[in-house]
Amino acid sequence: MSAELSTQVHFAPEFLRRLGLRIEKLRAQGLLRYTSQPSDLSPASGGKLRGLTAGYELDRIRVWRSGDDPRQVDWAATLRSGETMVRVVRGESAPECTLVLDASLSMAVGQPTKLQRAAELAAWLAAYLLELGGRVHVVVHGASVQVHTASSRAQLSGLLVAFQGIRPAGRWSAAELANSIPQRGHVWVIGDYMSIDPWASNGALCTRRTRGGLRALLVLAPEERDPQQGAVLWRDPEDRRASVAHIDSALQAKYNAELSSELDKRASALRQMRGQLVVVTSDGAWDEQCVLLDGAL
Amino acid sequence: MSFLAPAWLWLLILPALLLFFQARSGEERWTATLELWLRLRTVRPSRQVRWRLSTRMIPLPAALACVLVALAGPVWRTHASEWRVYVDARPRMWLVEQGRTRLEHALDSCSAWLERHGASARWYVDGREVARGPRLDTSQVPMVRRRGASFDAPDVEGVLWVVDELPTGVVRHAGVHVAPRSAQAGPVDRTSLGEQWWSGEVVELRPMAGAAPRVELDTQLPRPLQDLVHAWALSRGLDHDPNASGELVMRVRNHAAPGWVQVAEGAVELGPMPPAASVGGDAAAAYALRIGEALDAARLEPTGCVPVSGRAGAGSSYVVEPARQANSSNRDLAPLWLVLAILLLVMAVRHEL
Repeated sequence: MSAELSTQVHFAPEFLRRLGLRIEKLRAQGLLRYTSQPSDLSPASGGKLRGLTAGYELDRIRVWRSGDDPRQVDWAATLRSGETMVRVVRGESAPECTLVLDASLSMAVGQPTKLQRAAELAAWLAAYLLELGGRVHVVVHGASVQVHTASSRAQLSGLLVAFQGIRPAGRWSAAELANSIPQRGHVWVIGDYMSIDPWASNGALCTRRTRGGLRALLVLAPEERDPQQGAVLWRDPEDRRASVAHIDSALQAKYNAELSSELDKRASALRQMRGQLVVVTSDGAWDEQCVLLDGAL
Repeated sequence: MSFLAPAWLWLLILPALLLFFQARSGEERWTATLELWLRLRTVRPSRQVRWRLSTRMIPLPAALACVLVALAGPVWRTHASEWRVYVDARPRMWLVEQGRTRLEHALDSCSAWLERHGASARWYVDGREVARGPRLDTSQVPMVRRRGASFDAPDVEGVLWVVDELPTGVVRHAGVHVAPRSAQAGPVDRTSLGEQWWSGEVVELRPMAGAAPRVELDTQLPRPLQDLVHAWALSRGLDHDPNASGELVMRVRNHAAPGWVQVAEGAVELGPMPPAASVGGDAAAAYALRIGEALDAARLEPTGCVPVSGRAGAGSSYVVEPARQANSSNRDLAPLWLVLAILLLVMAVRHEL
């Protein structure tokens, strides 16, 4: 018989220690913090800033000086003034990121549960963004929708406490998901959403566009990623439907192909929205999965 | 391994049923990819179950089974619950009661008891082991005819007695199988004076039909010792004439070692008189007394003779159960099974979480 699905998120001391170590490592790397000072977008401020900021605000227009990037030339102003003019921009006051966390009952599957791993990775994302001076909103879709906000490093612990109170319950819909995604800032949607296809051509999010960028973290249980052979009574935790499957190597291969196809479809839909899909399993190495997320940031 | 309360083992059907139903329904697992499985069209409706025995199903029924085994009182019998049985083999045990000897009655009772308890035994007669096994045939029992023999057996755990009367005193630990015993008239002793006959109430002296029992002396025996044995035989009504034809109840052998005295069933070995006893006085009297006691102890009862204490009636057969069933060599295995049950239970809980 299956275990009852009631395990709530719990951050073990070992996990908190590893999270702290990663934050210290991040600080040691001296990553650029966001600033409201005007920037000339010199090459030194490239990469990381460009990836994380949702956009830049125009600070002023001035005359071109030697060494300026030709791409900064404001051609309209140049034509009007007769001199070569360049645009001086500054980053937005702080990056804003929304973590939409699926805490429906299906996230209780797996050992550790998918919700546990989702919360651990969300904790890392929140810590990373707060370190960069960003503002983080966490929208938890469980039995009800809860929103938590943190805007400084000091508020990370409050977020972690909020994560630890999450218990898987209920089920979420594509419409609810769409409603919880803001139009501005970065958005990370974290969950399994295997029963819904939010980014399909007719999905609820196909017309939803975020100004910053949409990224999705899809968490699978080990048995969902790599089912073992044998007779199994599969049961859906949300609607309690059940089916018996006698899994042999052939069926295993078919399932894997079907799963890959589904994941490809989701990744493709996200790419069309200039988004990105990251797939992890709940029993994978957390540190390695954090590196995957770092790459997607 | 055996069990003190094997009835508990019937309940092993419960873990077996638990395993049966688990295997019948297959292992139930949660998944959020049910849609994918349904789409593959190879899954079967949930009613058409397949059999599957998974290692994850084992710990809980196994833990339950271990608890039941522990309740059944498992014991490890290092000597297969071996009892020591001491058999009274004096002539009185050959008196016939209801067509069978008292010995047969008591041995049957004891053997049946051992079989009921699934035990074996080592059988002792007159302090010596004569056989091993759950049964003892009467042909394996040597009669103890020494006139002075008594039934001696330890009253400790793991011991049974086979007798025709409960010895005086309280039996605390041993089990006792008592043969039926009715009053039996018959000869008590034979001497040169005649045959002593117990009528059921009194002992009468009857004239002997045949010759008196005799003592056989080794001709090499030193003269003083021969005189001593002659005097003893005369006082006991035994014939010591080398040509006598009566029943032989004693042999006296010569031994080279001075002062040597060794008693056996119906035989005594005597060495030359020690110098201290040759000079007369108290030492000589003490030596003569010692020789007399040795001869009394070794002398056989004449055939068919049983003392009055063995002929008097005492009642029907009965059994005194031993204080404790288990032999001290048993090792209680219940704690071991309980520990195993706890370990399996922990495994089962870990599987479920």
